[in-house]
Amino acid sequence: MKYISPTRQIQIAAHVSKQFRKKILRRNLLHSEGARRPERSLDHIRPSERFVTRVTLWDGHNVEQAISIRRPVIVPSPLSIHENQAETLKFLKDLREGFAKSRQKGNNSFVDRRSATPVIKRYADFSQLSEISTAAALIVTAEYERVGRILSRVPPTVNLDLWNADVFTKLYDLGFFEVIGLAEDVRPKIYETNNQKSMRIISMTRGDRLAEVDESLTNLGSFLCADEAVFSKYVVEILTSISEALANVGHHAYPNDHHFEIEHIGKSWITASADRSNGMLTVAVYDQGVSIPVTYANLELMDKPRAFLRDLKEKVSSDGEANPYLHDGALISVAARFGRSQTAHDHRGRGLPQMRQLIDRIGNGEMMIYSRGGWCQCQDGDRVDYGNLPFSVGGTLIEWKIQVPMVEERNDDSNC
Amino acid sequence: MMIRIAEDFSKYPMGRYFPKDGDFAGERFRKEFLKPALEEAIKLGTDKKVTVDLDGVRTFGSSFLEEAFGGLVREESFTKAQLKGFLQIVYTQPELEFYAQAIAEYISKANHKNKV
Repeated sequence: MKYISPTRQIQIAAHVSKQFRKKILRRNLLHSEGARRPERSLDHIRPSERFVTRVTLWDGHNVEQAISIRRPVIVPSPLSIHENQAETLKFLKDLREGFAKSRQKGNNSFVDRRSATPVIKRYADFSQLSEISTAAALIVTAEYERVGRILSRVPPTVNLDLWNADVFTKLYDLGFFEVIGLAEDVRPKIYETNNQKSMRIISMTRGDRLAEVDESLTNLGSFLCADEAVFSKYVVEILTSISEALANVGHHAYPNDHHFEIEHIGKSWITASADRSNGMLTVAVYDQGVSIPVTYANLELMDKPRAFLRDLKEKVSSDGEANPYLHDGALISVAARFGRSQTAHDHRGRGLPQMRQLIDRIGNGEMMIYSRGGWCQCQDGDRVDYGNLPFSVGGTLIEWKIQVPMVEERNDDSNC
Repeated sequence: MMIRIAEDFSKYPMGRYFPKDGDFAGERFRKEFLKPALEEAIKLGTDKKVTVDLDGVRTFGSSFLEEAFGGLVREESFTKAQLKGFLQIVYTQPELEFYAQAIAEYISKANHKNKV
């Protein structure tokens, strides 16, 4: 398998076009000679969804022409929880549920090859996407990897040649195609584009790849021209928080006695990026687990967090509609403040507060927690804000944004 | 006796329980390193301390530290007085002072599991 560079994309597109032209000629010749092709019935599809179009598929090996018979799901742009929250979360929810439906129906193949021309079922159209945030890319990667591992088959990319070059490059350099199995894992762990440098998405079980994360974070620090002595301390703090996040996932995210509506693969996904234009380091960790609001609500809380939560719930307004995520933001904020202290096991449950301490100890940064249908923002100085999301994020996403102090004088000609 | 966590155990210790949380969890460090070393030191006398060196360790999650060190009181029945007399934490990197203090706090707040 070979990876496809942006330049190569264009070459492939031209090549495919030639192939497509040949196929059209062959088909026309066969039709003129009286050959019959089985007609594809669209009766099972609602008229409003019938949308026949030709598409190009790439499954990591071959490029081929196919037909799509349903209206595709348009990926909203920008795909970003910060900048386009409702549309982004709706798309991620639909993607998740769409993949789950495929599994439930026993559809192990995304392409129907019973007809002469392959037919792709519903797909996500990335061609109109102009911008994707790192966190959104992390979640999309997780969803594709999940369906790939469960079905042992990954959805092919559709119309890759039409994707926005920046979006393709970002996903490619974040390792999206490698993580989901469409390309070989051969490239370096860090890539650089203009003022940004990012760490390839690492998918892990427990903490088996923390050494890679360490190396990548140190590399990002050098890119930011960070004061080495200071940044080394930051990396230890960040790695500590990541390890606690992973430990939490191991303990709470995928319990055996919980009924998951959507089957999980028990993994966590991590990425990080550095922006030289503002000295900002962003680290994101995502899991597809049961979520903080679900596990925290089931704990027998000690007096102080219980009272705090009761007060917060009273302040949350209810508009009369049933909202399953009504208290999610409040629950997350209490968990971040007090941890998961239980009456019988008060030596446990310090993970989330320790993760929040990262911001307090470093200063000048924030931690965002998105879990199921709630969010919580923790800033230095014990500032905590929270709220609800229009749709579930499908697990828990924790994102740290840290302003890194940079060296005053730049001695290195190549970087700083 | 000197125990260098980074060299003797792992630069990236993580989690509480072994093997559930992985090969470098606090429970394993406590049972395989701390407990036998402390028992030996206590048997030999007051001038024999167990020194735990934090230098080079890259992750200091509360799960690992509390299980490893707080667990000495909670799970292994060492008294706080014994730990004060026979266990010392050392480091040269200034930023590790915070974690050394955290260890002391976990020991201080731990209660034996059979105590109400």
